[in-house]
Amino acid sequence: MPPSAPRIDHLRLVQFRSHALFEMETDTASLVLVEGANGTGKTNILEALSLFGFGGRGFRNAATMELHREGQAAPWGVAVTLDETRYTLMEAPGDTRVFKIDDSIQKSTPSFGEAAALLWLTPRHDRLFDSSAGDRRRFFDRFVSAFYAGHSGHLRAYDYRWRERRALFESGGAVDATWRRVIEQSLAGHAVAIAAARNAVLAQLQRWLAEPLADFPPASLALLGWVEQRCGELPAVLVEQELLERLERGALEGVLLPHQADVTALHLGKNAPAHRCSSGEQKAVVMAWLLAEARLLAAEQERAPILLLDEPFTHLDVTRQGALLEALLALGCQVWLTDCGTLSAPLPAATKRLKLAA
Amino acid sequence: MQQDNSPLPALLKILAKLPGVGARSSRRLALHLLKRKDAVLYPLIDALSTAATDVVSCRECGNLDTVDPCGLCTDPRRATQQLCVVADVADLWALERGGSFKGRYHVLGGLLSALDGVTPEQLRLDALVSRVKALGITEVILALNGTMDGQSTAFYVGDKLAPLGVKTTRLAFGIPIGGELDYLDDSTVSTAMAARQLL
Repeated sequence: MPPSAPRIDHLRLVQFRSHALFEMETDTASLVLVEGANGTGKTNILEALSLFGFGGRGFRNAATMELHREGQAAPWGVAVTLDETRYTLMEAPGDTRVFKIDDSIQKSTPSFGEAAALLWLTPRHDRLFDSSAGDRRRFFDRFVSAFYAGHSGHLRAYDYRWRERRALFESGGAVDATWRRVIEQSLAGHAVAIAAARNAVLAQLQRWLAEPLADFPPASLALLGWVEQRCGELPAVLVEQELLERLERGALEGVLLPHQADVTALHLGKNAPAHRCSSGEQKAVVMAWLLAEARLLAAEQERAPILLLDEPFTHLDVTRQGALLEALLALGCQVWLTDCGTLSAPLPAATKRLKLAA
Repeated sequence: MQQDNSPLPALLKILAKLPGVGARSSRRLALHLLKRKDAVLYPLIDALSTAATDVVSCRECGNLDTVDPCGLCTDPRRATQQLCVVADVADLWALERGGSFKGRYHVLGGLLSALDGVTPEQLRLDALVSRVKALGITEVILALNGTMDGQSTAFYVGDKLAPLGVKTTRLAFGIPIGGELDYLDDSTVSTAMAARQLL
């Protein structure tokens, strides 16, 4: 971990979700623990930070209007100071938001840019391996996007072309052959770019998954997708051609396209697929996956992430809770955690604690 | 406010239908017009009424003008064998403001979009092919948006023109004038790199 791991040192929320005004200093601690009973607004604090992550809509994928304080019309605002740079996101008239870095207004999606990537886990991810392929795919793609900034653009373009292709067939009447070819050529190009990026990131991730921190279980991931598999066997140009031919012939039976791909995990300690493991073990594998992502980002990109972990201690026994805290400290990057009283392991001395009252 | 059949709500309603105008702006516009009848409202009525009767779509290129064919199509200095294809009249105006293109235009009337149901038949594509042949065009310049729809339309038009053997070009993608590299998205930077030029 580079010594310059980014640290958020100040956070201020105004009229945001359950908080009329919330302000805190972290003293640039590496562990920030937000404690409180249910309904005290712990998750809202992490959500506010997640607005600066991939996609710009946070981990609840909330629209601007939804972020209002309940029953209030006043505009909401979030201000974060990260390594002496101030990032502000405010609601503006017309259901829009204004993003500022220090005092200058940015046209881009809210993000800490090169300064820090955000990775997060919420209780939704506890059952990731029992969930849909789409959930796992999106979880993985979010990370691939942190690695390759162009990935999300390819995903959006691919999705657009796929919907266009479907609309073309559903429009009734004869399909214009030229138009169809234009759409399918573009679709195939984006599909191969997506698959190649996924493969490249997965290969790098495996190394870190095989050597987990503390006593997290070693795991391995596998991508189930036709384009991903072919990209491992043939040069990209040939895969693109093959996919295009299949699209033209409509020969897609049994072909898992990039928007249908799945990511499966193997718990190497038990040599069992993650979805067959207990809920505590599943959670440990998801956590090991996220920790591997964080270590890979820090090692390969020198862009240490900031982690947001919402209720990470549930389903974990005291030993695993201790192991998680140990692993997070070893990681060296800043981690924001919430806890509603399930933590029984002792906290590291340097933790910044904040207790929210009901 | 008065009843629904009175003129003011009708005015507000129609103003709110204009692009970029919502309920609040329509109230501001209506008040502005009504407070300044002589200076703004009556001249606006005259201008709108003249535009409604006099402005027509050019049968050649699709531009808007008071004569048909339009002034650009009949200007002999513009007979340069270059034809610039745009999606809408607004894009034609943008190029005219830039002032660097001296040839003729062809307005498609939109961009292909399977999702919005804009089909090739709705665009002025057959007219484009006949004009390229009739005018002896040697270069077709595709000045279309860099959006998904703009890109597919460009490829589609390129395909339709291929049998004619006419040189087909498109506007460059790259760094905007005054733009900072650091703030550009990655695909723009890599496209600009691929399209680099000799100094």
